[in-house]
Amino acid sequence: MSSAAPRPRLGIALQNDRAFLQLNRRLIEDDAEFFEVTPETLWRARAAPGPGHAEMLALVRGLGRPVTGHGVLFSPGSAVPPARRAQWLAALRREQQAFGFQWFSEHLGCCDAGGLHTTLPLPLLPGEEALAAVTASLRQLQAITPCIAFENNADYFALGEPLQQPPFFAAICERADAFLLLDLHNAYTHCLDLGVDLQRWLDLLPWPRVLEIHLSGGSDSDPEWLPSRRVLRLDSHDGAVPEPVWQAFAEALPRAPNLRGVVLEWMPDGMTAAAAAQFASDFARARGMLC
Amino acid sequence: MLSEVQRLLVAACWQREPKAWLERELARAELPLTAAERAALAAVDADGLAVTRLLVQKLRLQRLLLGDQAAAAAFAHDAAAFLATFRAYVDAVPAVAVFPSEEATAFRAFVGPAGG
Repeated sequence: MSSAAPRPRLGIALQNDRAFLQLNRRLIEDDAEFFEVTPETLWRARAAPGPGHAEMLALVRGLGRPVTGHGVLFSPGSAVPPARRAQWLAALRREQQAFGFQWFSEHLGCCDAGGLHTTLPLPLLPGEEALAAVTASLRQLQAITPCIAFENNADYFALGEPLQQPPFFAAICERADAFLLLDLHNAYTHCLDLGVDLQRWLDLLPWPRVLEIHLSGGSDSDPEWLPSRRVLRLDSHDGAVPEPVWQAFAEALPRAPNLRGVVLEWMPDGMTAAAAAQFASDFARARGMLC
Repeated sequence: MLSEVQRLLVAACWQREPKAWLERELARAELPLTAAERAALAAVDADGLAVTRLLVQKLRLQRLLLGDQAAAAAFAHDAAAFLATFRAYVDAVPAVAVFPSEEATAFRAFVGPAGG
């Protein structure tokens, strides 16, 4: 970072879960410099405000700190946008007005095709057709929140050559005038599972377009899951940030001149007192690295 | 055609044997796929696709349990029996729900008034 650049803010992803909010109360009230909210987790049918929406809005308004928006299931890579697209955009517009997101990020991928939905984004096949689909989708989001970023996923299989992906990200940033949310645990998981060198993958990223970094942990799959008994790293956000991710974070900071925020994530499943202590410890370590 | 690549991948995630299903589909010469798209799909790692399918189904289960208190209670009472019903539901009911309440409505329609 140049000396003129402000220090990136350090925040956490707020989860719509009572235990998460209670166990991490001190982190939320005293330490986090901004919050990331995933509005779709606050919706019910037809993307109407659902359980926890009013409470989350009251919480972040009461705390008075900056808020960013995040999404998982918008499916920006769908060649044919899902039928719910217009309804989803209207809901995001409502949330932008309510929360005042400073920027909005969305997972890059496809979770709707042929009338079916997957519950997580699947990888895209890099190429002109995917580039056009993603660009059109991100433009729709930019009409709501001007500053848009997309997040790299942890894919458990590759579609095309894995090292085509970072240049594809660069092409999206250029064509759509968008930014990259670099999830370092996703990158670590993706490279580990696909047999790609993480450093090589990172070297190919469009670093001046990295707006935000996600830090989290994960776990390994159960050998019983597969007949081959192969174990894959999972992007489960349920553990301490592993050392290779801390190392990647340390190396990323001087390479990302436009980094504005770093967010720690932990899924609410299994949020215990011990998990909250680890989450706070990871937060403190990240803060030490940013100072 | 990208839409066909995506249709095949999304559908594969809802098959019991996703890689075998995908290979059978790719044997159909009439599918609107370029040679590069066909090659990319043929090269999809079987273990990676199988783990993706498991995670997709686990998330659908979690979505249902979030949206339906009776289903959550049934799962807590007898997970094995509930999962057998859930697998039948997944096989029979196309995955279109995005929100817990939508999944719950579809599940209740599947099991009927006495089920769940």
